[in-house]
Amino acid sequence: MNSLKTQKNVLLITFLFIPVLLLLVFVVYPTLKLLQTSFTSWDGFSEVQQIIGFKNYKDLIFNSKEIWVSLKNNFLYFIIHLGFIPLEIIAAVILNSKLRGMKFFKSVVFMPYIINGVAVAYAFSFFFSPVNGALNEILKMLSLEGWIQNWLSNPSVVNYSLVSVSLWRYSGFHIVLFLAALQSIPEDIIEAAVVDGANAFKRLIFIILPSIKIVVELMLFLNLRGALQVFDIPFVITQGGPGTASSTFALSTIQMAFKYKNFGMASTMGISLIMMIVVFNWVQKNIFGLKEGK
Amino acid sequence: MKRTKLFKGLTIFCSITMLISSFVGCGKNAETTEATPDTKEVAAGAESKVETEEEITLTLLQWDNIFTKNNYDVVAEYKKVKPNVTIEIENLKDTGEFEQAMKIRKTANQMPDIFALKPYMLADFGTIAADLSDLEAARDSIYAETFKVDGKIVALPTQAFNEFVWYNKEIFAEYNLEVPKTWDEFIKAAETIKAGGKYIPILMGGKDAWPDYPFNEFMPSLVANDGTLWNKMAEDPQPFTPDKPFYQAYQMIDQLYSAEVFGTDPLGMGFDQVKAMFGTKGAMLCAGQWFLADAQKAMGDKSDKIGTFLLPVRKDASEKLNTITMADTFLSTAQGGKNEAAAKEFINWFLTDAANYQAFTKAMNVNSTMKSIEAGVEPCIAEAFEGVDVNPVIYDGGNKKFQAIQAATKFDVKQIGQEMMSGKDLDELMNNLNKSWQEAQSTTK
Repeated sequence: MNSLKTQKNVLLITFLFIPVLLLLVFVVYPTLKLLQTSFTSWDGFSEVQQIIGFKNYKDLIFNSKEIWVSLKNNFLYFIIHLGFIPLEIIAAVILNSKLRGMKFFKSVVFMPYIINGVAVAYAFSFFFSPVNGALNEILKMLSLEGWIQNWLSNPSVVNYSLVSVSLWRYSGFHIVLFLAALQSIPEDIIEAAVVDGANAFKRLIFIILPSIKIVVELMLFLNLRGALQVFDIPFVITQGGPGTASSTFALSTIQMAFKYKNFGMASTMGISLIMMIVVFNWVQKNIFGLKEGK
Repeated sequence: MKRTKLFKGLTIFCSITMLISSFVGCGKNAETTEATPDTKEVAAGAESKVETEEEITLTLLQWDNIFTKNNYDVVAEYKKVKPNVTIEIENLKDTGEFEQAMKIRKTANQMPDIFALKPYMLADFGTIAADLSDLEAARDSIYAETFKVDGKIVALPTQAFNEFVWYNKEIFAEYNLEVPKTWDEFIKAAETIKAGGKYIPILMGGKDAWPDYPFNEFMPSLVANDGTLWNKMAEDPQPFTPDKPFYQAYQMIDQLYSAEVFGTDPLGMGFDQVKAMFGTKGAMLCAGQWFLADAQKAMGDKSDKIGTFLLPVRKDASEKLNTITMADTFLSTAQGGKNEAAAKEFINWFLTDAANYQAFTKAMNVNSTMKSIEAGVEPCIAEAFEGVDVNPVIYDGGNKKFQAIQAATKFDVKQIGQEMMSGKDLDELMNNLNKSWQEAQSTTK
């Protein structure tokens, strides 16, 4: 028996050795290094990294107005995507029904997520173009010239334009995840509810939603993480402009490191991002009553 | 008992497989570092040749194929004169990516043998570059002395160019316009085209931020008649007050932006979108000499109607016309590099071999940086200088102190240009800049 236990341990260690090693080298070490750099004023170039304590953290909170503006933009992505989650669930419920052509619609809905993000962003910069832009042309065709805006250059409009691109790209992915969760609900539960006289709304609230709670929780986390890390869409379409009107936290971090040569502060921003995701996720779980055991 | 045996067997098999795979992985690494028998043979062969002609491979890091485009190929050209030297080109998309790659390589101590630098990169990479003062090319260079780093010539510019206002002669003729000689005339010409309602007077592509550089980056130096204005500003606690050249230049720019002569939404389109509109939907575009190929492509068979004039940054036509002259794409090699001598020899050859250098300047349509070698430019570019009393202002990208303050204040003139175009108040912008500049200056050495 003892030998069997030893063999088990040997097998366990052998299997775990490489994944743990990879994790240590590529995840744990870089994170610790990031934490270390966040306490320095390193410019990404000098051989010496001068330690400045919590100065970067203090500056980030009290002296970085433009970074707070970026975070405000991230919040817009978060709140609009959050508002769309109920709609995405409803869309998934519709797509889950046995109507004709649903397979085709499922593919169409998922399609934007498959397309390369940079290509999507590039295509939308032409879509919003003031000269020959598809959006303005559509509005003209519908005799809605009065609705035409400077979609990418008006500081009070640009973020909504960008969030709409993000919605177009990610909603399909969310719907497909919800769909997978819906398909995992045993049909007999639904049938029993129907027999008991539950209407579609009651079935949604009392059976479907509690059954897909795990996926909703995952989606809330993905939404939070995605909203705080959004980068490719504003980077390709506006580069954060005009000025810094559409900049996001990730965009500011990249600029801080490579444009303003402040790798120390950029690392601080990286660590803060991790902390924000952890804290906001905990808050979000509490608000929506998704904590384990609830 | 049988199950235990099976488990035991499986354990041994798996353990052996995993260990072997780890060793194989490590073994491959060892091979690459220790060199295969084949490599050893090659190395031995090369050693025996050292006395005669050593085989050398020089790595050259560049961006945007600058040394390998428009039918010019530096690798082939150098092979003709030095058959034993192979230039291995590593190309990066643009200067942004190039700068990042250089920083990473510097940190990893894996610098390329030869690299090109933009003027503003000299402050960072000039300090690790080898001294080129003893080269013939350095003595013959027009600009080498101007761009010394710590008193040493560490990089030599390979091209010089000017900035122009590109325009369609037919559109100017349609509105009876003449080439503007002063800033007011320039704005008036743009307003006349705007009033016609047929064309966008000046194409901007402001969504990309950088296309406003002829105004927001260069005009302060032109107003000051000083290419090193950034360095002076680094010493000045309040360089954005109304009596200083920066403010005066920005006041002129504000006058132009307020005239709204860049179309209905200059910030809604990027440069890629507007460059194709040159000459057809747009009358003028401000850009450097590099824009020629794009202008010709946009105008097609009407390329002979392309005209250029120098941005008239002056109030009176009797004044000398200051114009930015850029010395650019500085060739350099790292100090103490493995192939430092061979790299220096290459740099010297590139700039002093008349046939090669003329082929390069012709392919790039740029001016010569050498006293003894002339480069022919297109007639449409030459005409910008006809009958104009020109004063070249050699642009300096800013020294280390300026760059440190720039980083601390997040001072980005191109972004400020975007904000001005979106209607932000100039005085408010300048006041904020003065405040942050003074603060950053007190903490920057």
